[in-house]
Amino acid sequence: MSKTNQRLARMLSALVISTGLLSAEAIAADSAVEQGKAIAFDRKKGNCLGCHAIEGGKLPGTIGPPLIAMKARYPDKAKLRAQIYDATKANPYTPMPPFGKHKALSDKEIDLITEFVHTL
Amino acid sequence: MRKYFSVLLAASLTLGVTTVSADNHGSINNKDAKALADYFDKKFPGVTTNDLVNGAYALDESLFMQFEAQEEFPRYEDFVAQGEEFYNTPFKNGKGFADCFGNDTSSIRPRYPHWDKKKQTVVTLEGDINKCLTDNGEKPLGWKKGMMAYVSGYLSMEARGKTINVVVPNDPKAIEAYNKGKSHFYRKRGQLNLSCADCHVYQAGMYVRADLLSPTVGHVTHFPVFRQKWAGGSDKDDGLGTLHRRYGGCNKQVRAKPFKAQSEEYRNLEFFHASMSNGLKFNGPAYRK
Amino acid sequence: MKKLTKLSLAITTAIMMTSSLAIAAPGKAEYDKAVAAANAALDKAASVQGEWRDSRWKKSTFVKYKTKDGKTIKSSYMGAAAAAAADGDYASAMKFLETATFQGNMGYEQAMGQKNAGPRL
Repeated sequence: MSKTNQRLARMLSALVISTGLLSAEAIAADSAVEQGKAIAFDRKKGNCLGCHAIEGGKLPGTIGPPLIAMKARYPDKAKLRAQIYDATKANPYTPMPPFGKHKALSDKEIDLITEFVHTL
Repeated sequence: MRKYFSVLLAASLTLGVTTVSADNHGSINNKDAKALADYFDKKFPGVTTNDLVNGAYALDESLFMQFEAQEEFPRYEDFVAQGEEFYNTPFKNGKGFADCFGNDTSSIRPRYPHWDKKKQTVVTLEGDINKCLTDNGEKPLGWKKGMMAYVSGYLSMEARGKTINVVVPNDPKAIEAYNKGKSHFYRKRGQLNLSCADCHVYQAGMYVRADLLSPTVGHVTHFPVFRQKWAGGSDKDDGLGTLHRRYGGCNKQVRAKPFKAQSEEYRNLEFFHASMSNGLKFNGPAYRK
Repeated sequence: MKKLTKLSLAITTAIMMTSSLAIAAPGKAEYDKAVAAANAALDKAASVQGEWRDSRWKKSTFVKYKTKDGKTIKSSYMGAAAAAAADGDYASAMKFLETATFQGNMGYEQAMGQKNAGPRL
């Protein structure tokens, strides 16, 4: 191989590698959101459709507000997580189950749901 | 946007306006019942208190049509007939249910639940059905479904159109039982942290997934209930179940440990719960989803 | 002198091995204590009508546990703990008991917090 071709090959492989890494990261991030969606839609886990309209979900309940414009409503993701963890802190009379406080969902599951809901 | 509309009811249901019983006026339970009736009046304009005997079906036009279709050829009729036959069959000792309850079958259901001064406890219809059996040397029935629900269903059918009037006498123990029932109704419980009131007062008229939440007023009038969900799990299409069967189911749904049917906890709850429908007419058994 | 050293070495090793085993994995004694503690917490919740459904109710099918012979049983947390203990899997049993105890404490706290619950019409 000529020197130019060698340099080109090196650049190309560097590009492939860096793109590959980015893809891996991107895949990991999607995976968290996808996992969160699965937990949210699972009737025995989050069962969020029981009360909330969520894009992609059928026959949603009408007890809670629809989950849209979440980044505008919760610019701070941590505050969203806190609401999912224990909604009774904001309103002791809320019908929303305290998923974290009562350990209906694990900390990891709440992290994943938060990732998903924040994208809505 | 769900539409609320006023429903003209069949002959068996009243067109009157009384929502609070004339006797027992001003007593603790009727004050509470009136407060709830007023609350639902505001929540559901165009739906009268008397309409609420049809529960969620009073709140949605298309649902009411589905309900009417079910009530045209009621799937509970065969079971109620079995209940009637059982009720009229003499015991081994020659006596019968009429010896316990009297001869007027239309006036039996309306006597329950009531406070028994001697026993210092709340007595239910199902409780006295089994008491009559065991007092006469017969085997007691299960509390939640089967023949107990059929007999209770028969007696409810006979009492259709009669007015509910649960009396809470001015007796500290009776009032305590009533307040215990009221407390059960309003307390959050279970891992899901929900009270009866969360769904059936504050969120009545809203949807949980595809189920429309029914208001408390009018709840007990149609029991024992023929529930589609129970019928689906039965190979005989038997959806009939008692009030305490439903209490257990609701407790389980919020991940609270259910109490036993006819336990003091549920009898006190029924004492409170039934009196929230004081002034309404019995219309059981009836179909529910 | 040599004999004594060999003996003391053997004894020391044995002590270290048994004590390390005790630290590494819970045994039946620890399990029994934890069962009693869980039941005490659940009894406390029950005393104020605050017990939850899946802690120990006989008809709960919420918790899954796969036994050593490959069967999956569905039970309450206490039921799953008993099944794990029967397998000798005290580590899993202790985890289930931890949840059951938590639920007992939480159910009690919930009921006490709801003492004055009433209509807010």
